[in-house]
Amino acid sequence: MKMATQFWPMMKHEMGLGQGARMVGPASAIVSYCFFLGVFPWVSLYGNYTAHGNITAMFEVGFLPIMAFLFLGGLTLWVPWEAVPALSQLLQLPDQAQDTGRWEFLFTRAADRRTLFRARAVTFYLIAAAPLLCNVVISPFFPDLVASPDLAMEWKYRLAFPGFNPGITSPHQVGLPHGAILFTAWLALLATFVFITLQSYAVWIARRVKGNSWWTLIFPAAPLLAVTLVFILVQKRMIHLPFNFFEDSFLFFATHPFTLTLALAGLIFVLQKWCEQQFSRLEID
Amino acid sequence: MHLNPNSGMPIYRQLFQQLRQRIGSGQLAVGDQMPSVRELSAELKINLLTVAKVYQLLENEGLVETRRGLGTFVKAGNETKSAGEKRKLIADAVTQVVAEAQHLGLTEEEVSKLIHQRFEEMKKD
Amino acid sequence: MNPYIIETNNVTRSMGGTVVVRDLNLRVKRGSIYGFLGRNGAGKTTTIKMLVGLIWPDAGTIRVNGVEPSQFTVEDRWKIGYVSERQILNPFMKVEALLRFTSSFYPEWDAAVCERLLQRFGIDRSKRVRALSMGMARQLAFILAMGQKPDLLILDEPAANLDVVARREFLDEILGMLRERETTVLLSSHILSDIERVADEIGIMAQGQLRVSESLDQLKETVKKVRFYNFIKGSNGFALPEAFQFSKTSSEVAATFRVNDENSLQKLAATHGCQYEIIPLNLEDIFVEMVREPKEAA
Repeated sequence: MKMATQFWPMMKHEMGLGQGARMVGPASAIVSYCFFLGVFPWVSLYGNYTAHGNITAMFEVGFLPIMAFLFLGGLTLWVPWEAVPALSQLLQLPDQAQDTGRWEFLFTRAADRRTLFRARAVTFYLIAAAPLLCNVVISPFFPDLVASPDLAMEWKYRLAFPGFNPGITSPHQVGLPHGAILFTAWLALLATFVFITLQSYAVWIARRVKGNSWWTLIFPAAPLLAVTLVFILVQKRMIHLPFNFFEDSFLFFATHPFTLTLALAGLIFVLQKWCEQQFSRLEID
Repeated sequence: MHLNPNSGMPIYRQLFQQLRQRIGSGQLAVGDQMPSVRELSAELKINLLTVAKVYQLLENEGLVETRRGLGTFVKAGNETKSAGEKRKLIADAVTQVVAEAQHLGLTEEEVSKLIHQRFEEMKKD
Repeated sequence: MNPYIIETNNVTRSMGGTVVVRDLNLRVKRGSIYGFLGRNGAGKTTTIKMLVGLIWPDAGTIRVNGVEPSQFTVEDRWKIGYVSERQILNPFMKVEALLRFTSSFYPEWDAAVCERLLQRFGIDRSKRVRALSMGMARQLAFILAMGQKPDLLILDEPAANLDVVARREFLDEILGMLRERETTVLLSSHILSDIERVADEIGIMAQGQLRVSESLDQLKETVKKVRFYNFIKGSNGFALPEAFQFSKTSSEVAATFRVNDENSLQKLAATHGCQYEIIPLNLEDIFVEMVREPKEAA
């Protein structure tokens, strides 16, 4: 009953509907973010090639790591602080106090804290992943993709795309049936996975990290720092991954799209429940 | 009625003394209905419980009576108090006068003289 | 029914390594207006936060309306209104929208009371929260807490930022609420004359502990400052270990302590061969005498 009756008012509240421009300040940042995340994949896929988007170029040019950093960085700077009141107290900035005050208001109303967290999480997810989700929706209207894999990778493409069609335009290019759909869906899936794990991590540390010293800021930033470190080490060839993260994970998704989607849905269900439960036990000071 | 919440004397005592004085002086006559606890607390902007406490004290002193469902009324028969009761009633005021006199350094004779004078003035009126 | 709407048993809580509340046993009777006093840092706000379930005690138990605040359900919160010390309302929301949003949490929302109070305080429904003055924002927070028809209203420094007239109106509303609905009010304030006007019970906190918890009347009737003077042989032997404040010179002694009946005072003066004078104290005096560091003059 609480979930049902409280969820929509809270969603409306979180989205800032009917209360005026809550996002006016960061609006330009949000527009740039959406443009980059939403439009740039298409530009880089189809911009340089006349008829077909070449996905191999995408994997080689290094556009995906930039996008991933943008996404992860954006989430790190935003989700833990906004979703978990205890974290925002680490930063003793005036508007953080404002934020805590607003949490305090909601925490002392007859508002179900789990529902509150769900409304916030859904809002954040929708804003963070909106460009990627839009891309999935419009992807059927885009031409299929091609790939120009080297010999070592070609068998993987064959496995992932049963209708694999060698030599559409040239001997080195191969067509990927439903390629655009699978590619955008893969991006959205990856982003969703990152979102839910980062959110769970934020909730997890929120009940454990106390104190106001500057080094506690490391905790929310830890995932981003870890990923950056791995990225640098791989670039410097100090560690060697036995797979190409982006290309192999795309092919793996293309092989098992429904299984992976279902698995992610299950993971979201479990983690979200856990987060809501943890969140409802948070102290606001 | 004038109450000063910020004095050292509890509000209930101030109210009690003032009401008792009004009943004693006949401003509130026998059989008069007292305002209800709610009304009086709203009028004086003081705590409801304080007024209730004062009414209870007045009733204990036999100055008012509560008629079930009708309200509180000034009780008949105040005039027929025993001398002892009357003395008890005035004792508080006397104590206050004496304390004040000590504070000001007045002697017992001086105070007695003042009281005597006041009695004489009252007779003339 | 339990006569106490708030009951804490040996509650202890530390914040950032220091013990802020220590072995607190707070009892608030149903239907009373409880004035909760203490200097800054005495542990009032921490206690209040524990009562409304924002933080939990490290040790001890709390019962508010019979329920441990950390276990409050949505239903338990229906009847507990709270205005925090630093109440911050969403600045971008219009008053109207905020009222609607808040009312969505309560099945028995009292729109009539809200309307009456908005008019009384002169708050425009179509304004945004950020366009309201500090005082008005607090009044709005109070209105929001009143709208839920609380059985218990917890107000932490509600009169801060209000001018004298607004404060009187506000106190009048609190008294009116008690008349109409027998709501229990726990009120913390630095403005002791306000507390003195409305409260019937007083709790004084100092150093994380409750120094006093009793009726205001009893406090005023028993806690007195007494000046002893005209000593026959000097005030040397005079001592009052139970006094809250005690100061002594060669010819005079001033002490604040509980005078339960005046006979004992007379005896005390007689044994030391001196005269005495009682100085009545109002709440502010009592408060200062009780929380000030005990002074031991030579």
